Amino acid sequence: MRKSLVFAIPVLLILSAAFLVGFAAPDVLSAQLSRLPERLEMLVKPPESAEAELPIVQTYYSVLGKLRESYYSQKLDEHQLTYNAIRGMLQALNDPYTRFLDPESYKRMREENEGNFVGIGAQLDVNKKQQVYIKEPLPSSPAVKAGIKAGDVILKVDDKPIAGLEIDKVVERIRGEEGTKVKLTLLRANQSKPIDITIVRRVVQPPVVRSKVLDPKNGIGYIRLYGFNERSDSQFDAAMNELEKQHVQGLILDLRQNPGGLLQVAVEIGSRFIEDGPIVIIKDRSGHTEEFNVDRSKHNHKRYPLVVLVDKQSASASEIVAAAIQDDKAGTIVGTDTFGKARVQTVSALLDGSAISVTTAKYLTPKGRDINKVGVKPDIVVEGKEMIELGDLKQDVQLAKALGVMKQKLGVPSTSKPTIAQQDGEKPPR
Amino acid sequence: MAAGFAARLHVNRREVNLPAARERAISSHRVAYAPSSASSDTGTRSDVDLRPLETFYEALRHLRDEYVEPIQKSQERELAYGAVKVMLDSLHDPLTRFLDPEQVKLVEEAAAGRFYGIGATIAVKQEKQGGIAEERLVVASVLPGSPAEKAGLLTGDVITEVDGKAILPYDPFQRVEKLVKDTRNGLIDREKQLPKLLEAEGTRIKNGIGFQKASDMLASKGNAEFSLMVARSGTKTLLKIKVTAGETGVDAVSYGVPSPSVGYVRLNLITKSAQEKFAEAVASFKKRGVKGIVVDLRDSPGGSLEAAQAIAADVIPGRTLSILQLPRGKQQTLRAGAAPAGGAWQGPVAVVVDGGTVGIAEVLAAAIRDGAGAKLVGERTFGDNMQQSLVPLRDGSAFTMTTGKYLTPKGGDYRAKGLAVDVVVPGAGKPGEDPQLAKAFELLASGKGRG
Repeated sequence: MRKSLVFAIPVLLILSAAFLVGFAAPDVLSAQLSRLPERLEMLVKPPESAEAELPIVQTYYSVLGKLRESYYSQKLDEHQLTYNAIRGMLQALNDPYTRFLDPESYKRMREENEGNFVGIGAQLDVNKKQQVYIKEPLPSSPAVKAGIKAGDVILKVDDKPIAGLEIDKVVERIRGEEGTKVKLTLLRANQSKPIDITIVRRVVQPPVVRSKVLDPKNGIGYIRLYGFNERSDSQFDAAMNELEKQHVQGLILDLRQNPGGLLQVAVEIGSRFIEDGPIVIIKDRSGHTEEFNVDRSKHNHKRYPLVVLVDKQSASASEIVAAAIQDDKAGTIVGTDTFGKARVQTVSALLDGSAISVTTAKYLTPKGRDINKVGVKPDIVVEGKEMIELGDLKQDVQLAKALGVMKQKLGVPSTSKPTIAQQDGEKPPR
Repeated sequence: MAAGFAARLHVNRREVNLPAARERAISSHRVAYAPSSASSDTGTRSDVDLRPLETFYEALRHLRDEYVEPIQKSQERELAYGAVKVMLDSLHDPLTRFLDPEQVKLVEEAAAGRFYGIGATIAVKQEKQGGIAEERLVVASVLPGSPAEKAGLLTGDVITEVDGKAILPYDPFQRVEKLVKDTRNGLIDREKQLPKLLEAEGTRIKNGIGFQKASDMLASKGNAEFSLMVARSGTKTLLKIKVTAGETGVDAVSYGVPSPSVGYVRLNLITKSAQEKFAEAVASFKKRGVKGIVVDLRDSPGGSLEAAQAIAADVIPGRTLSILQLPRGKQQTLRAGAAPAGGAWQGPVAVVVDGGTVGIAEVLAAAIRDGAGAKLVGERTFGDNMQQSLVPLRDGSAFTMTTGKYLTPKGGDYRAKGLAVDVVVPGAGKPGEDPQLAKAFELLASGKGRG
């Protein structure tokens, strides 16, 4: 009987983040709600046995009921109390990845996984005068079309001054429903008076991949992947096309500070570097294993000599890709030990718009290694420097090392000073 | 506002098992506090929003069906405790919290006059400073003969560190947010100052300990030595005080007739045994033919409402003990019990109070003042008039919550301010002297107290 009352909402397996496939149809929802009183009866009925056990739902609900009746100090928000009860229940498992997402967090997660959101398409930052300004408008975004320029300082949003407001709050004010308008009052360099620009909010897709030719002479390309969302693979493909036009001979894949994303996308990206076999092996709670094999449809580019950059913030899906490349000897891993998150979460939407992310499986690398809490050990260890712009060869010692390794692979003499490598405790490449 | 542990909670344990009359009074606006009612109080179905229950149920269902390590029967208790604990903590009300069965036992022992740990009742005060409201641990009452007394802790001391760990409020990140905000507003230099300040704050939080955990630790069994950092008013630097925990036995009441015409009764706790001994004291005073009675409520961390009603019966029978404000604008008049068989005390009374007069002890002090025309002598009381009730859960755990606010019989609200005294006498005197008590005796000897 219980089973029939449970909502089974199909979900995708995810890593570090999640994506919901579909919501319960409205008719299903109303049918379920109409049965609620009957269901409550079942929930609140004390167990037959007189033993002093604490059924979880009953305990939570009896405390909530007592608060509702007798709590004095403040008006209660039963939704928030319940969200916190769920958080508390999950915390008791001591698994940081099994967590509750309130409707707002869940919405943000979906946007991240879809790789798009509704807004004006501009990256904001705070300057030295503590003003919020446009750091970079995304190409062909509503912001660019409306004439927003990098460096514009934001004074007002919809005629309300934003001075003293946290940058997150400013972003919140600028974002809104698709098709609606937002008016920004901006201060632009070399203009004495503030200007007003009205922008229509649209769906925008911030780039999840950036690429460049790092060393034109030797044809060394660089691709940085910021996350594993639904746009990652197509953007990666586009970046490869662009690099191939410029005749790259070797590729540096930068997975540093990449927190992961969707499992399926990790398999897609991994498939681009590996000929055959599994990318990852998933082991579920009953001990069954499932191999996620190379997707050959992703073999549309030539495979180039490969160096992969990783750091402590390379997590989950990033680690799947790095570990698969390492196990297959398809490339050289450079950087520091990765995060060490080898657990898969399934995110399920709940009826009220919130969601729960539950660790449902472990994963093993193609060679059967469990890297949980250990991480992927780089083939060449190079510590990074803090507070630098990644990808800038002048500051980025890890990238400089990766470039040196790539030159070795391509058989060109390295120009990087050997002393740097020694300081950084280089291990000999295998 | 104060939250307590031990004695403070005991107060309310009693309130859970109220006499039948009060039980019914409560039932008119809320379901009675009885553990067996736990499963039947989902409220009227028509006006209760069922979605939260639905959400909780769904979440648990997913956990049971999908979690990588199947949930064992033995884990259910932890999950239920976790749910209740975090839910109650999210109210950010120090009086509203979960107690596991061990903690419930400590409450029961305190009711019997047995205290553990440092032997001081510790209150939680929310204090606002620089736009941030943080909870602080304040020593409310130092029990006589306790390790805290021996170590020199005083009422009003703020404990800022235990064993090198900073005491953290519900939301320790407020300070971080403030740093960032101050930086935005140009008060802090983003490059020169902010990183260091953030790092220091991060270390403080990382090594810190929640105020609830700290206060539980200071009241736990065992002989641990605690090293406390204490802020004391009038002292600029923090004091380092070492306290070796141990058991403290407290006699609820002591009494005598130190001067020929005045009886003296001290109420260390307001419990069932106190109520019996108090009656015994009053009867003996009457037999001795005293002219007045001094009731000493200094350093009295409180007890139960029921005991306060019974004690008041010997002095102000049938009079108003307190006006209790309840949720949704309701209120209830709480009365002292009926006069004992031998009759109540009708003569003059003086009540000695100080900053260690807390909770139900304050209720009693105000009631005797208003009902018997007694003078309050000494120093302003602590200022905790929130009613905290303990609700047992079926497995021996429990939770406490704020259920009302005690006002004086005349309707006065003394929250956080404390009760003002009629005759101010500072506590500090020469060794061996007690100026507050001396003043009370003097008042009664001159015939003041009840007209």
